[in-house]
Amino acid sequence: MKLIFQIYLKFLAKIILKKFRPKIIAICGSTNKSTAVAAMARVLSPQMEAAASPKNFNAEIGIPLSILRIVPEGASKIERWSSIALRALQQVFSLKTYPKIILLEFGMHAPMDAEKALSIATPDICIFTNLAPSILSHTDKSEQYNKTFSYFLRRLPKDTALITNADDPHLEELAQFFPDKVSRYGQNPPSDWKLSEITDTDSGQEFNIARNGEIFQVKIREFGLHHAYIAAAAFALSSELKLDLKKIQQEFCK
Amino acid sequence: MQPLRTQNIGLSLIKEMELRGSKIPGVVSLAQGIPSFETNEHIKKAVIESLSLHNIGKYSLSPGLLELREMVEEVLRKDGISYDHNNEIIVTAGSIEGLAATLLAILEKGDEVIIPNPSYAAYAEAVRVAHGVPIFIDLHKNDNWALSIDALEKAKSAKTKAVIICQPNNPTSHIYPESTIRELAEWAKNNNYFLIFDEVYKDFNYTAKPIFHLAKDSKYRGNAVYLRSFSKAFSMTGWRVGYILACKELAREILKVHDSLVTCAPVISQYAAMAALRYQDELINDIMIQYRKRRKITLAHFNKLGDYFECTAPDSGYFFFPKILFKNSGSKKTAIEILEKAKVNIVPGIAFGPAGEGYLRFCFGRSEEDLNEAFTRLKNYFHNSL
Ligand SMILES: Cc1ncc(COP(=O)(O)O)c(C=O)c1O
Repeated sequence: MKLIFQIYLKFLAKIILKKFRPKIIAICGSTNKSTAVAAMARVLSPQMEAAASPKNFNAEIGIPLSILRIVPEGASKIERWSSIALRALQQVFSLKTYPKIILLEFGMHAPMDAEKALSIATPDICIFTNLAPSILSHTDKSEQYNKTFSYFLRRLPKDTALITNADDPHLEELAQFFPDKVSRYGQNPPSDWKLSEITDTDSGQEFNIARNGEIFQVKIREFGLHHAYIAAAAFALSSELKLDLKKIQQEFCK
Repeated sequence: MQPLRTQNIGLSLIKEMELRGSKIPGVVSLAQGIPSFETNEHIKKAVIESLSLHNIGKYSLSPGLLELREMVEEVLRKDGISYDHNNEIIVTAGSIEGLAATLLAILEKGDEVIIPNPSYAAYAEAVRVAHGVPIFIDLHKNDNWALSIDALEKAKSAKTKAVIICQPNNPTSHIYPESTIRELAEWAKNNNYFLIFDEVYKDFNYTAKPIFHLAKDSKYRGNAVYLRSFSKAFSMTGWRVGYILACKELAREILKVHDSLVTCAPVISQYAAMAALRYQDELINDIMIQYRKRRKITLAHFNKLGDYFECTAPDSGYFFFPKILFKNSGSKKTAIEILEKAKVNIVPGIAFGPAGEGYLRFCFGRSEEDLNEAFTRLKNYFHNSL
């Protein structure tokens, strides 16, 4: 039953993608995906509307539902399959316009998951948050992650733009599988989007994001280093989408 | 055996009443604060699934499963609160372990902790376990249990280290207004005291106003610790899982104690907590409908006992805390008499600190059947014997 439901949703999602051809942005990694999707959708929105993943769904259901722009009732997840199935069908007929881009959380734990996610949507841009922390939390996952993500990277089309965390050693270990077009963010070389001067303040964090001598000062309300990394990744994404980076900076500082 | 320090630490009166009650057949207990509900099916199902998917038989990292902490961070973000899941969120074995770990981390021997009372019975004992000295100040019983800064000011000394605030409060079930919390926070910041907020009833709100969380204001991060729990709103008292929010400098210290106490919260319960957060909006909505109903039923019963008790409907939690109007010789004796004669177990107000004397606490988290039976017995008892 679950399988039929998944195939059905995938089929409808593909119709939508074919019809509107949004740019697909996959957010991958072991943690911080939802936080990244939310932050990116927010800072991009004044310049470019983005469809974004509803929260905490696994990839097989989450990706199609995001594409179909369905947020299950009550903001989350205890809705009957039958009613979701009906709404999905209605969406195919009722959606008349569609955002130019879609941010999709690609949650993957095994090569099989990568295969399934890619069979629904092929990313134009792929952003990696990090791989390291979850490996620490469950030691035996390390090898599994390596297998999964090397498989995923190999399966990406060669012209996919990859945005990746230069400071994550586990990601850098996979560099041989990266597509041709890569931009890195982080505090260490070889970051193209270099984070520096990260400081905690009473009301959040301040830091600089620099690229080719151009420096953006960013202030955010969130605490935790990963938010600075997400901001840097958002700059890299915005540049890839040819957006006005000054406006992105302003959105972060709001 | 040598005399031990802990000999001066009591078991709470709540537990004592439960123990007494367990020896009398046929007692209906409205004493201990346990929801009668089963843990929700969706949570149980997710746990069963996690048993087959993950190696749940292993320790997690000491601060808890990364995935759970990340979820907590996200849930907080929706409420306008920012804590870093890498350094500022610790998953604990219930909030009481969080409290013990916090107190053990911050207190030196003889340090004083101010406890506005009546409040949760276990605070004073936890302070004593951590070599501290509890200092009670009275909440204003005639002013909806208001907290006054004057009373705090009078209670402070060179040894004061922290204040424990139960927001919303148990047993009074009142919610401190934003103005009080802000005043308190300023006072604590100026004096450089820690504020420990016990927020285990944060999802229970029968009023139209949202509950104010100081965590939204990052100005006070350095002074505040927040204790939260899955026990109450998700009917998960036995899973033993909750979490602490504290700035990273403080969390680092608390983590050392937490590690010595429990290594990590039970991993299977951490998976249950993830499911609870995933479904939290629906689960809390559904359960609150039930609690509202039970609150209404209980209030109707109390209205019929108006000659014996004066009570207002609770704003939060699952307790009524009525004032005793009949002649009595102390809340403890009264509670024991009611237990023995009416076979209804309740908690004497004195269990919650000296200001609780003259009151009794009734838990309405029990089944409607139990509530109705308990009040039938109480009515018979009062009408026949007083
Ligand atoms: C106010 C208050 N704090 C803490 C606790 C303990 O909760 P936990 O199960 O999270 O340890 C209780 C339980 O009755 C309580 O009423």
